[in-house]
Amino acid sequence: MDSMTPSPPEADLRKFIFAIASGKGGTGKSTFAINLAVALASLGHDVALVDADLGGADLSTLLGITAPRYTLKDYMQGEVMYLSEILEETPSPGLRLICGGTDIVSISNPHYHQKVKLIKAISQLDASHIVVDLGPDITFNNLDFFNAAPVGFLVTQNMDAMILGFYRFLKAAFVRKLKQEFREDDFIMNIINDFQNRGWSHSRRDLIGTIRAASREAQELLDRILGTFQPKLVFNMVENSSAKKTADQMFSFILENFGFRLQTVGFIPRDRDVERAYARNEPFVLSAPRSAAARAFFDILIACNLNKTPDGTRLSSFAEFQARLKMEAGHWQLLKV
Amino acid sequence: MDNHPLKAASEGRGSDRRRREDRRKTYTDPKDLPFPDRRKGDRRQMDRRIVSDEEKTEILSRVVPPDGTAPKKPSENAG
Repeated sequence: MDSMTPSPPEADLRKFIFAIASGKGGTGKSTFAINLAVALASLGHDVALVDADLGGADLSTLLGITAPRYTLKDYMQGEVMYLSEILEETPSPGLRLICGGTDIVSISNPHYHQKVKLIKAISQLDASHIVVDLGPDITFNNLDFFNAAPVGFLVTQNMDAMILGFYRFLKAAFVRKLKQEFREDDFIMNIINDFQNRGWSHSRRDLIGTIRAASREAQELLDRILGTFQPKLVFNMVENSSAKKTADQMFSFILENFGFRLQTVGFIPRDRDVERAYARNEPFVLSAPRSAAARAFFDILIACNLNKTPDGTRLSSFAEFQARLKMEAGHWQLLKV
Repeated sequence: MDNHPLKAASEGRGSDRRRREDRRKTYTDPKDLPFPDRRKGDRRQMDRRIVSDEEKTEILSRVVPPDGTAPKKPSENAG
């Protein structure tokens, strides 16, 4: 490496990295990702939003950026060396965006080494908070990005197809996590493969029980996985208390069958202000900071312990959050072309 | 020798070399991967079901519909 070539930054494990998934299209996943990123930026954090919906990227459009200088395609094809080079400025001063590439088919089917390289590069981005918007489908790429992030959000709606979609994604991610953690243990790997090969015709509970009974080491590792695999569930477009009841049902079902705790962190109500903001390519927390949806978003920040500024000050009231959003909205109006 | 065609060809490969070098530098030990390093196994897993029919029925029986009606009984979801 010559002296003019910058050294790649080291990964900072203290960073907040969030992966946003859904398992089904149309849940509002990308809208959630944008508003999470903008809300964190409004608190003063340095935020990078990564459009990792490989093949279906649209965050740049939703943020009103029609002609980005670079996209992920340029990085994955080696046109630029470091991922940080393709960070785009957005109307929000604290928020930068990595645009997805949709103009070539190969971007949605990256090679194995490209996936590894991209996951590493995302974790090394120079930002305190990184929000990664994944594709809606259940691919190994999406599952691996989801499991690689310290915090995973699943966005769903209280509808049969969307609940099934989120459940499929969650189960696939969990099984893949088990396989990653037990990869050196052929006996456990055979147990997991056997459940898969038989199409899960036996009780899911038997999988956890069988692993637990295999050995003391396996039991300890399993308990560690179950203690750390805690995806956060968000219900979007909520109309009444039925979503809360479904959330309780899903919590019980997953705890009974897989032994981990699914944390439902919020219910974003169906809101005309959100629909209007979406139509104008604006984050609803900025264009409608007093809306019920913005209020629900603040509750999500509290549930995730994210209602803090960089100096550690905790925002305890919605009014304080609104004041931050209004200040951020001012920047947005000022800079939007 | 400065104009030797082999040297020119060698210089011409400079950008490709840098790309290959970069790829080598980002090599990750499989033990450090955040996912299973069994690419051939992945291929086989693609043919495996994620959710069984019984499981699907059980999940749907737990969804509380927004219209306030009772969740569907498992038999209503069959087929």
